[in-house]
Amino acid sequence: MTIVVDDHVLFDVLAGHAPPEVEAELQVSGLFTTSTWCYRLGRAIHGGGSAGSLFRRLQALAPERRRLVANELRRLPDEIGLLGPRVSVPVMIGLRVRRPLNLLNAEALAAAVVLDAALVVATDSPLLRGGADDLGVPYTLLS
Amino acid sequence: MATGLRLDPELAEIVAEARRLAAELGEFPLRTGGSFKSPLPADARAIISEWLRDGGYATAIAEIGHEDPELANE
Repeated sequence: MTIVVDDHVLFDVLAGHAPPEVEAELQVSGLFTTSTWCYRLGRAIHGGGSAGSLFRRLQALAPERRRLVANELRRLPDEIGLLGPRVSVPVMIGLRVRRPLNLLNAEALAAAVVLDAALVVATDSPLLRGGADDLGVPYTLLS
Repeated sequence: MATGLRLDPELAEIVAEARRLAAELGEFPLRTGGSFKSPLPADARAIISEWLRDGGYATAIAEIGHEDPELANE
């Protein structure tokens, strides 16, 4: 079954540490994420605040290695799928669930519905879990 | 595709159109499948993994969600 992963799981995959269940789906059915999760990941990596702590830790690397890492983390590899807004926005608008959704959760649910996929996350979100339950979307929280 | 999705008729119609469009745009199914090899060097991967495991990433996400509710888990 195709899966849609959150930013934490995506970062694990990009770092070459995909959980076994995600690795299996990556090879068989395909792995997707969303634009909003990608954007949040990028803000966490490249932004200020606590995000700076990653780049402080990366100071241990040689400058050219740091540049390589920063560049690689700005782009989503071709192996990972992403639905564009022409596809996802009409579905986001049409979602009817019990609790109002924010952008992050609406896009995730729309992607899962369009792809008939399971949501696989490393961070639990009761809002997303509730919406998934309303729509019959499988929701897996990795331990 | 046949799982247990519960969609009202209006949403089902929108989803059918979205699937047709995704296929037309080449967004689904994926053309590149198979295993993924991280392009990052091993030392960087180790640093990132530690950041994910020791709560650094979770802290950053919480701060972003506080600044921007549209990016919050809740």
